[in-house]
Amino acid sequence: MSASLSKAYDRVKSIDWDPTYIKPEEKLVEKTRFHLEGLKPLDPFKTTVGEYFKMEQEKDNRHYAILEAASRLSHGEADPRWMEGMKFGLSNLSAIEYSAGRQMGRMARTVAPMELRQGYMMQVLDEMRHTQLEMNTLRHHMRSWRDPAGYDVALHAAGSSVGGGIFRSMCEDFMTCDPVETSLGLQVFVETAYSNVFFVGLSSAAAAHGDDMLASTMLTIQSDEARHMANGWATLATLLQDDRNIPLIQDALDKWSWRTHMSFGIGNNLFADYFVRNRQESAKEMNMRWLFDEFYGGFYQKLDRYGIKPPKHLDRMISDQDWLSHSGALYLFGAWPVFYHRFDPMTAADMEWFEKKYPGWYENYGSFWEAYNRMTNPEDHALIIKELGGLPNFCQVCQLPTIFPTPATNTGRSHVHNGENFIFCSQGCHEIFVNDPDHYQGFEGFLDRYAGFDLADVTLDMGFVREDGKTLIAQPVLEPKRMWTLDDLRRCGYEVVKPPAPPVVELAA
Amino acid sequence: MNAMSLQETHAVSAKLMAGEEADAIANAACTDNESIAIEDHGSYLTISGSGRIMLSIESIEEELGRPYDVPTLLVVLASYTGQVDVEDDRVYIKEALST
Repeated sequence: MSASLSKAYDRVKSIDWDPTYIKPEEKLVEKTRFHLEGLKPLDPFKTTVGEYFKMEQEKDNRHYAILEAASRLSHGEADPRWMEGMKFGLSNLSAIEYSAGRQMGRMARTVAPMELRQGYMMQVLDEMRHTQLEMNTLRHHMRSWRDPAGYDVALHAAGSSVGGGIFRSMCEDFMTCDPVETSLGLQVFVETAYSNVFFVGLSSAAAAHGDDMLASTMLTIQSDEARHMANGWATLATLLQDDRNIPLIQDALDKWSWRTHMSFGIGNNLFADYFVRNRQESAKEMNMRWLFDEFYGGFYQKLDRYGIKPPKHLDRMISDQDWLSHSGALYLFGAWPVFYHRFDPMTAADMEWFEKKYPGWYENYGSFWEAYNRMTNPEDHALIIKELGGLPNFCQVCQLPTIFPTPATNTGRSHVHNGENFIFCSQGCHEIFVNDPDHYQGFEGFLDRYAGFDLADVTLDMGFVREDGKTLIAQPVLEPKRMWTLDDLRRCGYEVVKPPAPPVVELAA
Repeated sequence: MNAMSLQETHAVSAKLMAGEEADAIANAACTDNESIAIEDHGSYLTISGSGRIMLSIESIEEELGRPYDVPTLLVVLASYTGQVDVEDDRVYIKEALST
């Protein structure tokens, strides 16, 4: 590259053409409710295809050199709590990236201005690259980690796990909502705010737990996200030029701030607080700085002059930082037999740290961990989920159980639509449903599919059993004296029961 | 903290993958910008400032003692807070939605 980059970029732009054999509107597969005609888009990265491939090749050369070295040189064993947790983490991530690639294909087709289209097309390629990078990490870990079970079913698990439903529902919403709304939700919220916390913030955690392979994967991915963030800003800056877009932007930002909070956000909090041993910042501290000071603080003050208001549920999103990771952990650890990794329960040292970082933690969550630690031996025929009184309801929108912010103070509610009762975890998800009810029905949730099943049959149906056909992939502790089997689970006698619906709540007009 | 007290911020930052280039870019940034801070996070390094950070290829070349260019800088730019503006021989990190 040289002083000719800007000129070359302008020259390439000048060869764009409009087809004469088809009308402009026929070229678009999907329609958008946003107004884009006559707007002047920005392209802050000014990347030509030639430069793009050169950069990506350099990134891959550097990253795959690390992989090669990692497979030859042993740095001692990575931390098992982290490595087991990443069976759940990485499997979902790889599926999210693939769906992001599909979303960007829609964007490139529908969002006409060329500067934006160029950025979206490169993002399609980036997302395919990320899927492959993560699949390579999964493959590497499957071959090198001492217990490959869980890594070997990762892609299947991303589709069948109940926990993965949180991320599947987010991706499916992205793929089926207005294509311009997808840009605002994916590029502005997920990629600028939340995946930044994950890929950059947690790359430190990966390195601190001996998983250099994943640390490198995360940073090489986020270096592409840097362009995706710019795609989001460029799309938003373009839309803001037309006043008719302002209320549409407000609605999309309100929806995706909450939607991301209850999907990618909860994933970040869980991984940062419950899958680490060498503790640095708490999830709350990390989010207060990265999300609420830097992102929300820096973002909404700039939007103020366009008349855009902060997200309606911002106060709850901030107060949730005291609870999200802990209540999320109750769900994962409480339902351990239907996951596909070995769980490492919290120790006295962990609990002391939680009490320090989240005063009042023990009062709210201590009894769960005491009960959990009493029920890890298969000989005792005791199952934590049964002890807790069974599974709660699940939210129709975000697919999380209705235990947030805490099981005791949960904001679960019912809503009747066309004579049918729907359940939500919160006012935020309730509003999202009411604004677009057709978007969030017509599928089976966990309880629709598995009510009446013995839990052992749920695990079997999801495919989370080891090669011998009877031992569970998931185990409630890292090194059980004897591994739990389907028979052990059956002996506990827990049948999935749909709990009573929470009370109907009317939304204020 | 609540929505009403959401702090106004002019913070901008660049997050660079740790290594020789990150060190050179950070040193160059210290020369070319007033009041910026460098933090080491193990796997990455953060350059933070207020309003604007300018990264100059010429200064980075001086630090590295070899030729360097914008696409190579973008390879190690893992993330940032704000908005990126790429020129032929400089990369700016500015406040988001600034013109």
